[in-house]
Amino acid sequence: MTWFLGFPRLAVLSSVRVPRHIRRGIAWPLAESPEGICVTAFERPDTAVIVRQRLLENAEDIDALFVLAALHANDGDVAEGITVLNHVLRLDPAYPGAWRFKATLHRMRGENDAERSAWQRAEAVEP
Amino acid sequence: MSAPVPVRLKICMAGDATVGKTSLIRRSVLDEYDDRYIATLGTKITKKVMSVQDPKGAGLVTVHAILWDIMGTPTLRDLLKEAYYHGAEGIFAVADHTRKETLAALDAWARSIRSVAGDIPTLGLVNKQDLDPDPRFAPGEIEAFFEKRGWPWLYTSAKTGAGVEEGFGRLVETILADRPSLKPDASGDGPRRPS
Ligand SMILES: Nc1nc2c(ncn2[C@@H]2O[C@H](COP(=O)(O)OP(=O)(O)OP(=O)(O)O)[C@@H](O)[C@H]2O)c(=O)[nH]1
Ligand SMILES: [Mg+2]
Repeated sequence: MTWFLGFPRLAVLSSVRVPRHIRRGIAWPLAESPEGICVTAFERPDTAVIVRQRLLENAEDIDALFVLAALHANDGDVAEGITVLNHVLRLDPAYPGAWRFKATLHRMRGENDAERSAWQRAEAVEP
Repeated sequence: MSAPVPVRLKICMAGDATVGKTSLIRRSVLDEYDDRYIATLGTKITKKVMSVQDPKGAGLVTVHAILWDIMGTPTLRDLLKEAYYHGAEGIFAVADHTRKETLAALDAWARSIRSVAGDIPTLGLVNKQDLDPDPRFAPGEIEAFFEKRGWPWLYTSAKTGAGVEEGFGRLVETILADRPSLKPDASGDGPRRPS
């Protein structure tokens, strides 16, 4: 079993909601490439599907983790969003937009001090 | 004498998925193009160094355009808008010539960016000009769309390069013309837009 952010890795990944028709694998002609997912038609697969795919290839894919944080928050689990975002910021404290996103998430939870301090970090990293 | 300090501008790419935002940056910065589609996750930042005529008449200025290539995922747009659009000084609003719905979608992208960054210059790019247009476009519809919003626009092709450099030049010149002064600030990052 591999572990991720204190949880079994697949449990974290499967917590990303994936529409049923995609889970059955009939929606898009997906093919894997060394750089990521290719689609044969110009149609973007669901973002959650791309995130899951990239994290299965590399559990520390920072772009995928950042978007995973957003997906959690968008699903109403802001606390989990912050947990994943904190992991992103440990991997790269200058990840573009991450401190300001953290400020947004703390504001959504009414955590004013944490919001202010995230915003200050953002101003220092991305003036 | 020390070299003049470059002016730094943050420019956001906006538009639905697969319209060609990443390809336009790649064409402009690397002069490369790839037919494969790799969906952008989150944002990628690229610096484009340009030498442009100061619209206020002070000769050539060096501009470091910091291009934010943002994934075309409308469902996460508002959640991430402060993270991505704070401090933006210009917008490339990118539509796909082969998909009519990507044009109307620009309103929501521009609204989201402007709600954070204010009324900043916007340039429309109707990309994939090398392909046949969506037959659902009525004659004059694209022109009317941009005219109504007061956004200058042009056709581009990231594949052939048509219009790409002109687009970057036009947006940067418009941003510079809008700025109060081109005198770089003490941080060396150029003047900031008054907030
Ligand atoms: N024929 C043609 N194809 C293009 C052009 N620009 C982009 N494409 C293709 O369209 C597909 C999508 O391009 P991208 O640049 O990845 O699109 P994007 O807007 O960044 O998409 P997201 O990252 O999902 O938001 C790719 O397969 C590109 O090769 C163009 O000017 N002409
Ligand atoms: Mg892209």
